[in-house]
This record gives sequence, C-alpha cells and structure tokens, in this order.
Amino acid sequence: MEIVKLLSVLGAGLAMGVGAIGSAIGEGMIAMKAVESLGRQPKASGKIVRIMIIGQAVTETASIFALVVSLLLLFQSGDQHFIKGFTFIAAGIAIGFGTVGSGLGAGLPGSAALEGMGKQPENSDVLTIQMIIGQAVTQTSTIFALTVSLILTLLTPVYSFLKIFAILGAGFAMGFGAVGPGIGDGLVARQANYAVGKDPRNMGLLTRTMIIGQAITETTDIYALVVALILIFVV
Amino acid sequence: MDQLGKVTLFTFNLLGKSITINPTPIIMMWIVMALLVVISLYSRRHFKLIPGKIQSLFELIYEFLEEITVSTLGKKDGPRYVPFIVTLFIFILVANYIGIFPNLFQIGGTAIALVHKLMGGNIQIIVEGPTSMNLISHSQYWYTFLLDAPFLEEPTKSVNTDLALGLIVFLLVHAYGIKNKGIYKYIRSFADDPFEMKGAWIIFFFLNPFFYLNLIGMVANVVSHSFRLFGNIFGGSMIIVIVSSLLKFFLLPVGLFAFFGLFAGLVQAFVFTMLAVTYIQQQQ
Amino acid sequence: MDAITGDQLIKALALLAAGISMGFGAIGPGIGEGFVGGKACEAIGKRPDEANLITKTMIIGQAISETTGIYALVVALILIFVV
Repeated sequence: MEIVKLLSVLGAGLAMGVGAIGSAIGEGMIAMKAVESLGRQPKASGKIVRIMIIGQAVTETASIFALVVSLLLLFQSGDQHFIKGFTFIAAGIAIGFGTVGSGLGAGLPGSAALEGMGKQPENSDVLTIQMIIGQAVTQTSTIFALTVSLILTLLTPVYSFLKIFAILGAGFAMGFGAVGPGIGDGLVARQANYAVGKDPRNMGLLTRTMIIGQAITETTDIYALVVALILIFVV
Repeated sequence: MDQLGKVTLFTFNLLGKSITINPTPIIMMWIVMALLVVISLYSRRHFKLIPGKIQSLFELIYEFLEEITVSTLGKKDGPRYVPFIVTLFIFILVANYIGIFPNLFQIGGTAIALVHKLMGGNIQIIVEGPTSMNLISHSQYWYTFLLDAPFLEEPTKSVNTDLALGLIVFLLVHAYGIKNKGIYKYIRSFADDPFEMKGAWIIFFFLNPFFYLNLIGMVANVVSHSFRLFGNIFGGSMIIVIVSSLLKFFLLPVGLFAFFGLFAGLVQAFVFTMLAVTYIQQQQ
Repeated sequence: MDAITGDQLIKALALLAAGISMGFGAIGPGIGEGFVGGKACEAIGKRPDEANLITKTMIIGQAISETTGIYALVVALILIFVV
C-alpha cells in the first residue's frame, strides 16, 4: 500500500530532521568554547583543536545513529501490511527525539573540557580522557532509543486496532523519555570535567562518581525503555 | 538481517507441561563460568610473591574494588562483601567481553571445509564478506556440526540473565537490611512517616501511602538495575549487527566493536557492581 | 475491518497515553538528577576527602528526584494493565 511508503518516508524525515537538533547545538557549544580558549591560549592551538575535533566526533554519534535509522526507513518497500507504516513512524519518533538529549548532553562535557584547556592547557591528556568517558556514557539514552527504533523497524506485529496505538505509544515513550536523562548525563559530566580541569589529581575519584551519577540519572530512561518494550511485546 | 530474529529454542516436557527455553544464554553462561574456574585454578596454583601477568590483573581488579567497597561500607561490614562484589564484577566483565571473541568452532570448521574443498570435496562456498562465509556441504561430513555452532553471544544480552543477577543482589541487600536493622526497623524503614507510630497505631502503618510508593520503588530498583545492563549490551550488539549488514559485511565496524564491546562492557560491569555496593550501603 | 467500539477506543488511547506519560514524565527527573550529580562532582573536586559523604548524599538526592519518574511509571503501568 502507498500509505506504508508515505509513513516510512515521514518517519525517516522525523528521525533525521529532529535527530540533528541536539548534536548540532552540542557541537556548536564545543566550538564556541574552543574559540574562546584559543583567544586565551593561542600557543596551545594544536591541542585545543585536537580536543575540539575529538569532542565533536563523539557528539556526532547520536546524529549518526539517527542517520542509520533514517536510511533503513528510506529503503523500506511500500508493499507491506499497513500496520508496518505505523511501526516506521514510531521508529522515527523514537530515534529522532531520542537523540536530542544525548547530542545536547555530549556537548556539555566537551565545552567544559575546552574551558579547562583555556585555563590550563597542560592538562590536555587528562581532560581528553575524562571528556571521552563522560560523552560515551551520555550516549546511553540514545542507544536505548536506537534499540527500540530498530526493534520497531524490524518488527512485523499482528494487526489489531490496539496495536497501532501501542506502537505509537512506545515511540513516544522512548523518544521523549530519552531527552531528559541525556541532558542530565551531560550536566553530570560537565561538572566532572570542570573539576578535573581545575585539579587533575582527583581524576580517578571524579570519574568514579561521575559514572555512578550518570548511571542513576539514566534510571528514568530505563523506565521508558521498559514501558516501550511492554507496549511493543506484551500488549 | 536474519541474524536478529534467529533464536534457537529447545522444548521439553516437564510434569506434563511443555516448556520452551532458549538454551544459548545458559550454555554461554556455563562457558563463562568454566573459563573463570579454569583461569582461577591455574592462577591460584601459580601464586607468587612477585605476581605474574594474570595474578597482577586479578590483584589490580581486587584492590581497586576492595578500596571502594571498604570505604563505602565501612571497616566492619566492608571486607565481608568484597568477595561477592569482586566476583560479580569479574563475572559480568567476562560475560560482556565474550561476545567480541570470534567463534572458534566456526572458524575451525571453515578451515577444515576449505582444506576439504581443496582436496576435491563437494562443497559450495558462498562468500558474502569476511564474517559471513557460508559453506554448503552437499552431504553430511563429520565436521558439519562445527559450522552450525551458534555464535558466541554475551549471556548478559538475554534479559533473563540480567534479571537473575539483579535478583541475587536484591536478595542479598534485603537479607543484609533485615540482619542489620532487625525486622521491625526494616519494615519501618519503608514508611517515612511524619508521626512516630507506636503500639496499636501500627495497624495504620499500611494506610501510609509512602509505604506503597517505597514498595514500588524497591521493585523499580531491581528493574532498573537489571535493564540498565540488558539495554546497553543488547542495544550494542544489535547496532553492530545492523551496521554490519548495512555495510553488506564487506567492512567490519571495528570502532563499534571497540566502543560497545570493550568500553561499554567495562563501564556497565563497573556500574552494576557499584550500584550493588550503594544498595547495600542504603540498608545501613 | 470490524467497527471499532468505544471500549476499544478508550483502551487504545490509554496505551498511547501510557507512552506519552512515561516519555514526558522522564524528562524532568532526568535533568534534575543531572543537576544533583553535577553538583556532587563539583563538590568532590573541591573537597576530595569528603567523597564518601558527598556520594551518599548524591545517591539519596537522586533517588528522591526520581520519585516523579516512578509516578510516571506507575501511571503508565496502570494505563496499560488496568484501564
């Protein structure tokens, strides 16, 4: 049916269109702080630019996940039962909104690391490691969103009227549920990076606390994942 | 993308009821356990004052976790929980890492089959890429079962394993809570009541809404503890399969393997054990 | 296709509402817990010798910030299984 193609294209548009917002803002924040630090420490320009590029590359991961789902949705054939159309649009919603939080969140530790570089450029190695760990854990909420949207893309549910709404509900739950924890993870990682930039000797302790703090921050995201999985598989 | 839905199921009858289980996580768990037992027995026999490679790795992990556990739980209770915490960490770490090893059975079977074809065997080879080389043998050879061996999967990829681990921690935490506080104080700790209830008023305890909220929170803790591990490992392996199949298996996403296999596996094992420590601490 | 009854419509919208409840309900606690964790990291950076106390306070603070997330979960589960 044509409606399946229509809905899958709509889902692909939502996935990439909304999914680009977070990473773009996050990368912008990193670049802003990089330019600011360059003004303060022009001699350390090589190191600053290197950290900026690494940070932006990790921040981009969220959008790349959205791109993967978007491409998967674009290449779906329209010759399927029309309930597949709803799974496609729900997958688009889940990954599209789900990447906003992580993209934005991953920008926060990056900008904090670069601000630290502007003050003490000799800490560059420590800051790079701390930034990458913080950003990588921040991606967790996007990974959950990606899992749900891939399940939705590949799933062929039995048709019923209830199932359509359950699938749309799963998309909303995972998509919006990943926004808050993504930003929250970024906030934890940002303060940890500030602290490491000030005093790199506490790095082990700070990394530990940061990872525990981020893990607890993700709890509501896990509730959203559980609700989405119940809506997909149990209802 | 057929790899995603491929689940080996095993059905058997027990007391007149037919029970279907997925044996792969169970087999993989036993492989992980056997691996750990062999490594520990081997390294125990070769304990030295100046540690070798394996011993120093174990000592590094043990000392790192011991320091955190003892400093969190205190000098009295801390040392008693160190063996449990370290076991949990090492088990989950090895279970998360086992998925990144290539399947030795399939590689061995493929090598034998290639030699067999070179010697004139009747085998058709379909090459889709470095990871998916299908060998179709037209008759059964003795090595055919090697080619059908399932891929090494993380046992933590299955939600049942994670829930079992979560329940183990849950039981330990609450047994510790009852032992530490006494049954009366333990139950009282579920209700943060503003008024001190004494004597006959205790029957109104169950009318306290906080009691039910704390009860739900307790269950939610187990769910979030287990699903955090499950979501990360399952999501990671799913992303690797999807991206590999989008690349048509010509290029292996090595970066994704490194990130999800090595980094996320380590971080999630650490997070799981650290949350177990903090749950124990909350019962003090 | 059969006609859709009112009961079915209510159930269907309840499922959609469960998703929306959990989705939007997770935003606030997520950001709030992030603030708690961030300030805890900042405090540990200043006073690393008080790390145990700070971590303990952080975990309790985050557990309480999460309460509204648990409310959203409970509402979602009621909407799925009870309504």
